[in-house]
Amino acid sequence: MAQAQTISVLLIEDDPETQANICDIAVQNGMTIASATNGDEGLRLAASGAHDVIILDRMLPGLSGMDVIERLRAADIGAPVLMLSALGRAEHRIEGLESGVDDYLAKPFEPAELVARIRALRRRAANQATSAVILFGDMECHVKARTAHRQGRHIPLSPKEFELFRYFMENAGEVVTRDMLLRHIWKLNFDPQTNVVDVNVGRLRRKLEEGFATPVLETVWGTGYRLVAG
Amino acid sequence: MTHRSLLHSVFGRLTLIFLAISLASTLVLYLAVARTVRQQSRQALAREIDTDLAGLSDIYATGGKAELVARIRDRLVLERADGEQGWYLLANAAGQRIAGNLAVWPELSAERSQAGTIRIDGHGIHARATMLGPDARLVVGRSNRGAERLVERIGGAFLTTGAVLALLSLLGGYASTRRLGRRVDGVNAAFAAVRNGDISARAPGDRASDELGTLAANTNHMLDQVTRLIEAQRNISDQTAHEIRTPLMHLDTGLLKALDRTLDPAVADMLGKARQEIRGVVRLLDSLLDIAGTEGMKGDVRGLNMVDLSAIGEGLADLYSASAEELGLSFEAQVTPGVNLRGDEMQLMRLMTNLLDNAFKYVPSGGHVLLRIGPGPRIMVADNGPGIPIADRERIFDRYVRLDPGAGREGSHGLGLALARAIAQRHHLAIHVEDAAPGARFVVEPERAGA
Repeated sequence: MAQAQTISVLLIEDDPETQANICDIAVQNGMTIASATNGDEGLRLAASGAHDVIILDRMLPGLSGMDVIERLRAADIGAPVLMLSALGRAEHRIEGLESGVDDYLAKPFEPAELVARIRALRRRAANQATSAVILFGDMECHVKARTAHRQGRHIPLSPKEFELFRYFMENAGEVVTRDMLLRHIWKLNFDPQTNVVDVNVGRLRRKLEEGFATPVLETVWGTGYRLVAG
Repeated sequence: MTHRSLLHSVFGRLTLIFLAISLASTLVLYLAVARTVRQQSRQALAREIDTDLAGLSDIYATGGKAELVARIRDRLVLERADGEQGWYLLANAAGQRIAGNLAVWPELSAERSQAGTIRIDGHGIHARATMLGPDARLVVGRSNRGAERLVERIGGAFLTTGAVLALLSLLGGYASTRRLGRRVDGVNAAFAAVRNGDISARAPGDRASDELGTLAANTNHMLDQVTRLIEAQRNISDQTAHEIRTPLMHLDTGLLKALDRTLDPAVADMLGKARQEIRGVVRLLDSLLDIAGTEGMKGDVRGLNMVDLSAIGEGLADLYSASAEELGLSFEAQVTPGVNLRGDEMQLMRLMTNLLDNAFKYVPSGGHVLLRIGPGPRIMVADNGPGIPIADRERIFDRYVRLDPGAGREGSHGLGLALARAIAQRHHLAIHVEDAAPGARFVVEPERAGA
């Protein structure tokens, strides 16, 4: 994965404290970040096309986040947009996603969650064409045949487990959060009250690790999981 | 646009009532005219008869009987302008005819110079009798056929006019009923569309200066106001979320920074718990706004699509089966394929997960949970856990009600079932819990009519 390259982020956020916080998080995680405090300024900076990911606050003074996304798309700026919002109800998430943003994160968020989302957006934009076989460590994911292999051995997975495995493989080496899994694998835009995600990941982990010497699915405490090379 | 018969429309009924009134008025007018014409004609005939009678009396007095007979013959030969002939009878004291065209003496008293109507060949004739001498009496009559013909002609004119009037009224009434009906239907259609979720629908014709124009304009003003209220309600809830979440975000950032700088595990633990509390407040806020928002959307069909409940059920069965295994529960899903409902997919998923979460939280290890989705649609989540006491089966759907505060995940606010009920009601579904003997059985099915 092209991890060495620095991720360049554009932040459009009016709340100074949140802005400072996100800038800190980005810098701590080796990203470069430019920030704007309103939609117009944000659109001007975005016009350079130099940003990998745009973080956009939904409730901005003047042009709203929704207006900004519309103008970004109209101006043919293709950088993936992560909408950040104090409106976190499932209804808002869906509305945001339908408006053309690529991901939606509600405040307050875990720094690790934000970083994972930015990296995932960047990766998705970078590898648009998914290859037929994804290789990582000693694992193989045959996308067309829908089969999983480790050290050349076929690992039987249920259809949903395969989806989960494929998603981990596509985001190999990176933190994948529970919210990301709920949304991508089960199409749920809200967090069920029970630990269903952990249980399902636990199942996949057993299948990937049983009979092998090294673990491949790490738990990132409080956030989610990471697939590592075995 | 609904098609109504004249009788089922207010305007149609008005048209028919006015038609009946104008036809009745025409009839009364005709009767009055006919009566006046007959009266006038009778008076004119009476005057003519009296003049003729006086003239003939003079002739008898001056010229004698022979002269009178000659003059009566002259009169009978004379062609009258109205085509009617005069009627005469000169008779002796015994009533035998001396001259004239009447065959028999009518029942009129000559001594009293009586006037009256006599009938010949079915026609009425006004006549007066008089004594000319001891052996001569005379009757002079005039037919009223001219007047009757006039009355007939007037009647014909009234009938024609009445028929034309009725036809025109019906045509005009039908046209205006259609036109007015369409305008009122426009107002009704606007209300119906808004009720069905098209909040932007408005009544046409609100610029017209008549009452229906005012009705349409008032309707539209009211709908504008409803739209503003809905927007305002939404804005308030969005604003509330924003105003509360932003400081919580700052608080959380501060706690996180403190957490980064402390090496004291006890402090770190406290800070971690404080952050958990913040998450709890955010969840509480979202749940409350979700419930309020969902209740506000009751009957609002905007953005609703056909949702495959069976597919949702299958997906959730897959998601929860792992949890069941982990918790040592047996979990079964009985899903009839192709059960659809027009609704909000995410909310319906939420409804089912809330019921499943509830069952999974309260059923002890070794228990059984069943999800069944069938036609109706009917969604059922049953377990063989502790069940819900009868006294609590209603109130369990109220906000903040937790029957066993000890059970379930920390930070549960007792809002899951309240949201489930709000979602069900939004979709015109009813939710209730019954005794599964043992255990609880939550059933979601269409609201009964009138319930």
